Amino acid sequence: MTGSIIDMSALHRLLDLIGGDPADLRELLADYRDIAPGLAAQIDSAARSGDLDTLRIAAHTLKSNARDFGAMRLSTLCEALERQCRDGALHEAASQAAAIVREEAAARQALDAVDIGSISE
Amino acid sequence: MNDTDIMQPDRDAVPPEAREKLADILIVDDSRISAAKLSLAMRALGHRAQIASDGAEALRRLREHPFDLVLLDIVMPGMDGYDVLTAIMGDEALSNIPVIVISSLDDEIPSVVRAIELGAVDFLPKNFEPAILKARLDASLARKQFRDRELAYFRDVEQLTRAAQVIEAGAFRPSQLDLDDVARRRDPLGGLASVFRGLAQEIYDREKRFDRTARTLKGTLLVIAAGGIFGIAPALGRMAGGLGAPTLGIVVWANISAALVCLAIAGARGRWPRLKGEHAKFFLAWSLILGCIYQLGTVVVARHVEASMIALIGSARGFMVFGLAALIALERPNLRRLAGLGLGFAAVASVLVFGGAGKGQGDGIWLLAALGLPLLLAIHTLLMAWRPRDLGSFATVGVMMALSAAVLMPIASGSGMMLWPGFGFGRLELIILVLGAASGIAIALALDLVATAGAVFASQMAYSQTLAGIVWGMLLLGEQLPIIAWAAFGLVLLGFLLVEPKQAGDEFAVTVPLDRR
Repeated sequence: MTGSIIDMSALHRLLDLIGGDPADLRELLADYRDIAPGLAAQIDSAARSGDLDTLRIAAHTLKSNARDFGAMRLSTLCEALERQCRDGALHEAASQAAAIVREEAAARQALDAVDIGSISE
Repeated sequence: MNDTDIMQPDRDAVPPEAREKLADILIVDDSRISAAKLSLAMRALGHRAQIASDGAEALRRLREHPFDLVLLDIVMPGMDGYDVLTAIMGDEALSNIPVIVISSLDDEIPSVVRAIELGAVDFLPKNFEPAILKARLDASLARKQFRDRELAYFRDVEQLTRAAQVIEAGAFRPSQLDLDDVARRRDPLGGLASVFRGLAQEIYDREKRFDRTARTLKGTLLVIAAGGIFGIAPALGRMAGGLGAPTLGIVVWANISAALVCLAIAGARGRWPRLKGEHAKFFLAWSLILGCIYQLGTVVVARHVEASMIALIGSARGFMVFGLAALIALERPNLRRLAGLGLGFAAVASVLVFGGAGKGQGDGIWLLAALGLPLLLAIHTLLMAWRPRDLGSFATVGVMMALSAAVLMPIASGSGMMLWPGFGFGRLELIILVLGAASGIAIALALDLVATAGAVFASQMAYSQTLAGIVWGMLLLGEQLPIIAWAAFGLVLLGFLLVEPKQAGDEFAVTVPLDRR
């Protein structure tokens, strides 16, 4: 399942970028696990309240973070939402936000299954 | 900077190891994970990174610490990347720091175009590879380092130009040139600064030596002139005393004529004294020390101590000035100056002792009292160093003498020692007029002497005065001039060379005449 949700080449690139130490990558990943659910929840509540600015910035941040860790589907969902916020053409924000919350949980689960040690090999 | 075109920095002179030195990088990103990722990436490339999580913090850190490069996220809450970029470019102290923007926007091209238009040097695309990051970072850092060197070079060229302007503008002191940092450069510009500084110092030192020599000569002439004129006083005093006039009365009238002569000279030179309130302290102190206590002391001591003995004791004045000047840090003491004063004293003392001073002197208390006279004169010499410089020397002496006469006249009349003018102008009146004129002119010269050569050098007037007194005595009263006096003159002159005038202070400045042809 991991293969379809997580793009392993992104994790390879990230590890390469930060110098190749798996311990650093584990630490970054732990940070991601801390922050990502909060960002998804922020998107959800901002979509309900119609706070476009918060929605746009949270979607932008989660988009970049998800992309760094290879969660491409999550990144694509966030990107679409961010673009709509910027263009002022938001539709069905609540259902998009709900999809992001679901996808974020799935991606996190998939990342839990990734063996960081194997990436560095 | 068109006038410095000929001296461009040499691009090849930058050593390769300096091009890839460790850099200080500021990461501006509101996303904790993106910032941590970039920070780790910077560390992996061998640089030091700091993180600012918003625009305001970024600007604060940039102003606190000199960064080599900024990695700037565009999308941030509050102040976004464009705002931060605009603030950096609008700040002269920061605009030289290269900024690389991290776009991560899906409409990448317009955001990058806007960032570059605002002054960013480069951008990182959405999905950048580590190699791209390294290449763009290295290129920006190398440009920054070259630019820094270029700016430092232009700053140093400007510093050197400023130093040349200081010399061109007129009087200069080497400390004003401020070329030490430029001279430390290990390139032709550093060499130029070093040669320039060396030549300026050389000229300054030479001028300072010339100045000292000129002041020694001028000081010597003034010591001889002032002492020579002053030395006539005892002979005239003895002549007036021989006519039966009371000493204090003579002093009062001599001071009045001195005041008239000096004020007339000052007026003729167009330097009539313009007295101000701040002058009062100096004139009061002066009239008390010299005009009153000293003059009275001389009259009283002269009754109990023989004249040549007073002259001998008076010659110790040089040492007193030397000691007092060192004590109040007015002039620097050294062994050479002390030896010079000692030589002059020995010469004068031997003439006086040979002439019979010190024989049959029984009263020790009066001898001690006689020591007070040179001490008062020593304080007077130091006081002259603080005279109001806005008043001319003759004007100053004129006021001093008038003040002194005003103080002494009631004392003289009260003690019955006043001399009241009679009709006609006889021998006594002539003697008093010459005595007053000589004293006034000599003190005015002494004021110039103190200003030219300092109090310690000026105190050697005690020697020239005593020796001149012997010569005047010979000329006016037919007294015998001892052969030993001739040798003493030579020794006193040698003493002048040893004592040397007061060293020019740090305020001494030199003007280089520049031929602009």
